[in-house]
Amino acid sequence: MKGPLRVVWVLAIPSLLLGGLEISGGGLATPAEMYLREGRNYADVMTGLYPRRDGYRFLKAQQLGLCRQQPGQDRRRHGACRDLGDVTLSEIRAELERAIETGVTSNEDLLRIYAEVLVEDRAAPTDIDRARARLFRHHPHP
Amino acid sequence: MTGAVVSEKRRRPGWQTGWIVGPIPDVAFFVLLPAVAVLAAAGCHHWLPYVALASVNLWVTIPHHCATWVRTYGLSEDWQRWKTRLLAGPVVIVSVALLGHEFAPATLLLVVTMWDHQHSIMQQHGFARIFDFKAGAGARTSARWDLAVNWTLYGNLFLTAPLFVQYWVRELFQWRLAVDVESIRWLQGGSWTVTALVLAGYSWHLRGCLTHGHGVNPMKLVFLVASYGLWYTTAWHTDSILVFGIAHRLMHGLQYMVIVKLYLDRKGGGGQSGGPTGRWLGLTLAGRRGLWRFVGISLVYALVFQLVVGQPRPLETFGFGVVDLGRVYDAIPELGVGRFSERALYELFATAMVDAVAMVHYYFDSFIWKVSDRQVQEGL
Repeated sequence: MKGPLRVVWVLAIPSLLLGGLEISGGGLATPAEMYLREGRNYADVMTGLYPRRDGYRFLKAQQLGLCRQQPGQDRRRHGACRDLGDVTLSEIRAELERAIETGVTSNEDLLRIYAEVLVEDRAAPTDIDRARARLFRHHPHP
Repeated sequence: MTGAVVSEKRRRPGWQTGWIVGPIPDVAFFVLLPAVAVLAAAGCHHWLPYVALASVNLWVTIPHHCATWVRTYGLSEDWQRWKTRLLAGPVVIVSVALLGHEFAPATLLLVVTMWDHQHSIMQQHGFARIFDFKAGAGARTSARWDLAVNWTLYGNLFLTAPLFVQYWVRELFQWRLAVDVESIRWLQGGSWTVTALVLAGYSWHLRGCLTHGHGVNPMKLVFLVASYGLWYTTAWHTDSILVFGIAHRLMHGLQYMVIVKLYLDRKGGGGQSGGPTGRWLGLTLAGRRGLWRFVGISLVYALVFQLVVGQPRPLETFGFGVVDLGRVYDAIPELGVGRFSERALYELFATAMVDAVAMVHYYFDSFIWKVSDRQVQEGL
């Protein structure tokens, strides 16, 4: 098959199938499905694959944060949260700081969530200002 | 850019050096540029904010799209030849992008991303074929081998480099395909094995070219090593999409603009400069004096594009994030606030346009750079 027809087959058919799945609402996982499933979840797979790349500790922080947000009964329902037990804000902050210390600046969510966690954790105003300054310096259009 | 074998009568035996533009420009743009791009990206990472990536997009990627429009809409020959596709393609793709952003954004992002990767592979493959064409080197099977090597090396990069793994693993989980660590390691092991086999086969093919008198252009091999050196170095040694993005876009965009300028120069000096309808914009950019017009049009296009789709605050992007307008805190009194919800429709248009313009560029490139095409060969 030549020319534009090949593009149609290669691009359009998978796009229509995936798009249909997405529009129907049956295709995309919720954050809880992605992060809180026991064993096979995005955070544990990435940190398991690359245990020495601290940049991915951000995913662990997101998982901890999601568990912390779950009401008591829901928390026990998710396998990953059961394993983690009671999550504290300082645990989340420690994971975020491990990720930030790698020097990565491209992850806007990491910088934004870190600033939010510092506020919630009642950190020193200078630390909060520094975190906000880093966020807005690298991502001036949040 | 894609290609096929060179004509039989042009083939020459042994190592046969052939240049795309000439020795000095080729070494500068196709060998040294990737290394310089990596250094520039590392420098941006150390000294500039992340928004510098947007600046590189603006000053390099957007102008390289403009180079496609100059060739397709600015050359009478291309316009006459592909008029239907040049008219219908953008209409269909812009419509799809708008609908995609509205109803299936995750699908659209996946399609644009995968098409971008395919486009990157095919550009390097196209340059490899041009090197063979210029040297009169390569066997009948060389095009397929080059294609296999490009797809395999890039595919392996995509499957094994941590920078990319985080994205495709996320997509798998997002689409409810839960994978575990062991299955990913098996996949990556298989990828390295296939890569080793294909490279061994490619070495055997090159040896055959040399011994059977088909010739091998060493510049093609140096070019491939430089290109994949950039991609593997940045994707393996950094977790920052900024470093990879800046290095990749500098190489991809500048090399593309070089080949378009060369194409315009060759077409301009070929004796059929204006085609049946006289001198079009493309040929006014040919030659030494046309260089400044080419650069000027590219930069003006980048400015206009940014002003149209970069609202409400395009100015930070012009200045690599060094220009601090001091309005950031005013616009975002609390963290993360300031979504400009009243501008939702405009945002849909702007973001869709960014994707749509990129996709139209990918689509046009899929048929305007066939190295096996005699009319294209006249411009190389």
